[in-house]
Order: sequence, then structure tokens, then C-alpha cells
Amino acid sequence: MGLFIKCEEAQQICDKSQYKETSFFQKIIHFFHLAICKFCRTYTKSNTQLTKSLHDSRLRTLNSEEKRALQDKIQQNLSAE
Amino acid sequence: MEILQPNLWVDKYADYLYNYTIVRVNDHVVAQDIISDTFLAALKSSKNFKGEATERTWLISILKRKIIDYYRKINSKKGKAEIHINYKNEDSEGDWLEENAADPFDKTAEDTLENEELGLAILDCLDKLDKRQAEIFKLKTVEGFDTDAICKEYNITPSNLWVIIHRARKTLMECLNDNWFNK
Repeated sequence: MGLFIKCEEAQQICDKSQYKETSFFQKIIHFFHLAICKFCRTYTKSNTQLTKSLHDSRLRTLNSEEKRALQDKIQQNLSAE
Repeated sequence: MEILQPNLWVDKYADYLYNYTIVRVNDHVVAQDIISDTFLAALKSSKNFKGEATERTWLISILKRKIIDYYRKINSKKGKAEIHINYKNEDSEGDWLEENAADPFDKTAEDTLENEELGLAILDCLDKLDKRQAEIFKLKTVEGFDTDAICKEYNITPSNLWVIIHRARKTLMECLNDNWFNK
């Protein structure tokens, strides 16, 4: 893998870094890519903003078991009618 | 004209209702009970659904009543709690508690409410993805599952997963830009 990468790859590194799943080497080549690519700088900026929004929103979801329990209750009541 | 599809309620609205509820009752178990009650009450009164509002709006209106019921119940258990509300004008009457119940939140927790609205806006935007993509994105991003665990569960490769995450994030960025940041 060279120091120069395509935007596609740079964006994937950017995505992974939102989940802290990038290696040190990936961070370096991403850094170099951003230095020469305005498009990916914009992408990185909005991607980071999205991570912040997701964090700020304190969004939570019900897990699949909890959803299944709800679904079961609805199903029981539907068939009872 | 909207029609009710109770079979899809959990998939379509459970997370939305949950986020709406959790900021108001701040208890995971209570929130689940309230949502469960809401769905059952909705089934019972499904013939009252006129199709004028969307299914979700209608469910939220039932949910609001359930949340108020919950606060009434814990207040009556205390036996002493009183809720004082100043009428805004002479004409306010009828279901006054319902009408005014949201006010304390407006004033004391604007940040929480703003964040809650952001959360609901994000969930709205997630509707633009197909169900499987949205599920995978939520597992990875909201519940913080391992890449490996998700890949195993959905029988996909890590590169599949990152493509899905990439699409989801791009969709969300655009959608939030349109509906939240530049509202």
C-alpha cells in the first residue's frame, strides 16, 4: 500500500476512524490524502459532525430481544381479537 | 389515507417512541412498559383511527397520554404531590393537565429537548435507508457492537459492513443537513 490512496479508500478510513477502528498507518495516509484533497476534507468534516450529532442526541435503541417482546405482545392481542 | 399496520409498528416506530419516552421518564424498564401499553391501547382503539394523521403521530398522541398517566400514578402514590399550574387565561379549561404537561420540560431542559429532537430527526433520516441497512447502522453506531459480531449475525464480510456504514452515514449527513442544520 502506497502513501497515495484514492478518495474511496480515504473515505473508508474516515468512516472507520469514527468508530476508532483505524491503524496508525491508516491515520498517516489519511492525513496525507486530506492535505491534497478538498473533497475528502469536506467529507471528513461532515462525518465528524455526524458523529458529534449522534453522540449529542443520546440516541438509544431497543435491542432485538426487547423488540421481539413488544412484537409478541402485539401479536397475542391481534390474534385474541 | 393512512391505514394501520400493527404488524409493522415495532419495526417502524419502537425506537422512535422509545427515544421520545426515555427523556421523559428516564427509566429503561418504565419506558418499555409505557410503549407496550401504548401499542396495546392503540390496538384497542384502532377503530378510532380516522386516517387523518399519520400512524406515527397517532401513536405519539396515545403515548403522551400514557406518559401523563404514569406521572399521575406515581404522584398519587406519594399522596402529597400536587401539581400547580397557572392558567394562561380564563378560557383554558377542559383537559388542562394534558395541555400543560409539556411546559415544565420546555423551560427547564431546553438542551435535553433539543437533543431529543435531534435524536428523533436522526431516526427520521434512518427511515430513508432500507430496514436491514438501518438495523446494521444502529447496531454498529448506537449499540456499539463489534464489527465481527455484526458480520456473523448478518452473514456479511467486514468490507460489506463498511460499505453499508458508508452509505448510511452519507444518507444521514445529507438528510440532517436538509432537515436539521439548515431547517
